[in-house]
Amino acid sequence: MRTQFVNTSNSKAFDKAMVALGKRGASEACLLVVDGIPGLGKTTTLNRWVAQNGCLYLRAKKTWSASWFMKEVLNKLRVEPPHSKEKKFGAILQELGARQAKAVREGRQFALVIDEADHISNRPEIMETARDIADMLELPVILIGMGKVRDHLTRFPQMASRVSQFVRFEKANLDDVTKFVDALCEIKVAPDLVKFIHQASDGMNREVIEAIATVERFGRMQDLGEGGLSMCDMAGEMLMNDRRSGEPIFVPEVI
Amino acid sequence: MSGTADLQNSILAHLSNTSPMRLAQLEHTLGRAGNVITQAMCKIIRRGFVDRLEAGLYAITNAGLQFIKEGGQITSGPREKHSGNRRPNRRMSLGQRVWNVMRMGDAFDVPSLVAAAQNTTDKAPQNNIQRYVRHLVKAGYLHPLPTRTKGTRPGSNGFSRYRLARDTGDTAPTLRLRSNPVEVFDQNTKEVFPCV
Repeated sequence: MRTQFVNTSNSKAFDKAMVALGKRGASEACLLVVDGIPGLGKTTTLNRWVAQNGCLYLRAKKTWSASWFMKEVLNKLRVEPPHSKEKKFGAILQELGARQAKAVREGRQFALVIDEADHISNRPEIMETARDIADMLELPVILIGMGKVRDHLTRFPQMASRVSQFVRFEKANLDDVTKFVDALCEIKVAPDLVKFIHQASDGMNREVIEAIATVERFGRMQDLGEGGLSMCDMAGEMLMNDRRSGEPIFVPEVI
Repeated sequence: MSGTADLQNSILAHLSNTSPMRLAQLEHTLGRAGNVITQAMCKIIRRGFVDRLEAGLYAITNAGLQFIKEGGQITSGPREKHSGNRRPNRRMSLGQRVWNVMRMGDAFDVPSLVAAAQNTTDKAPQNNIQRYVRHLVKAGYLHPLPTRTKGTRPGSNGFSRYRLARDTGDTAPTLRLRSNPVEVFDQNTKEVFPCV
């Protein structure tokens, strides 16, 4: 299986939101919320974006306090955290401001990315600290969660009003699955099998990739025709495991 | 080879006699066009020899007076001695992108680094990343994990997984492949680690 990033409709929606965030009207509206159920490629998309732009990436912890959050930001920035909260906040503004200026000079986007933001989105102290950082530096803050962030933000109207863009990661459609198969699978796969992968995986990226690995492993041992590996060739073979039940899903022998 | 900046030297000489001076006066005295003088003036200001008091009004600074007193001549050559330090790599290179992924804190293998870090302009990213990782492991930057990711090819041994053990800062460590043994130079701490 090839190793490459596949530009799906979800990653395109994220790119579009980042462009829109850059062109926002109100300078303080610099929050972006990315959410969706697990296995849709949120973290993969954000990992790639952070790697390409050299942004600051944090993973929120359930037990974070505002002070711990600031300490972790400073640790990521390789700055010895001062003792008082006031000095910590000052040091964050100084360091992030310098990195933001550097990114602007180099023509890159710079943002503070907080993954697993569901853990902190109902904690006013941490969210207000993130808002203050975003406001004072006009620095985009990207919150990645699994669906609770949007609901929790309704409790903080001052935060919700600063959310410039919401990106909800949706299940992959047939086009996306076809893109995955074309980009990652090293053997040719017939459209009927692609359609079955889409149906059996329910559009979940993780399951699609698992199915591609199985299809490729099986296909390498077959003498394939011009049309590629079809459902007929794989009839009765196990394709993947069902996420909900854990039961194996087989390619049907009779359609 | 550096040449003498004649116009900049004459402007500085005039300002050392009469300061401040207006752009129109300099145009008249030097017989040169305003835009040419302004361009030269920008370069002198960057050296800290002249201050712009307001639009079109210039005054020599103490540093400028000192420079004239010591008989200095502005030339096109370097302004100060070379430090001997290599300039940090400011480009978002493949190594820098890989380092960014490593610093995110999760365990990783080479395929996941390739997927996150490569872009269309990279040549042989898989090989380059594999080599970078191998040397970082030898230099003690990466800690190999006991479990491997399963490979998809028949007979594949899978892929080693790693975690960053030494996060020294924003700038990616660079490989010195011509050294024997190969060395890793850390721009953040200015340390050198042999890959043994």
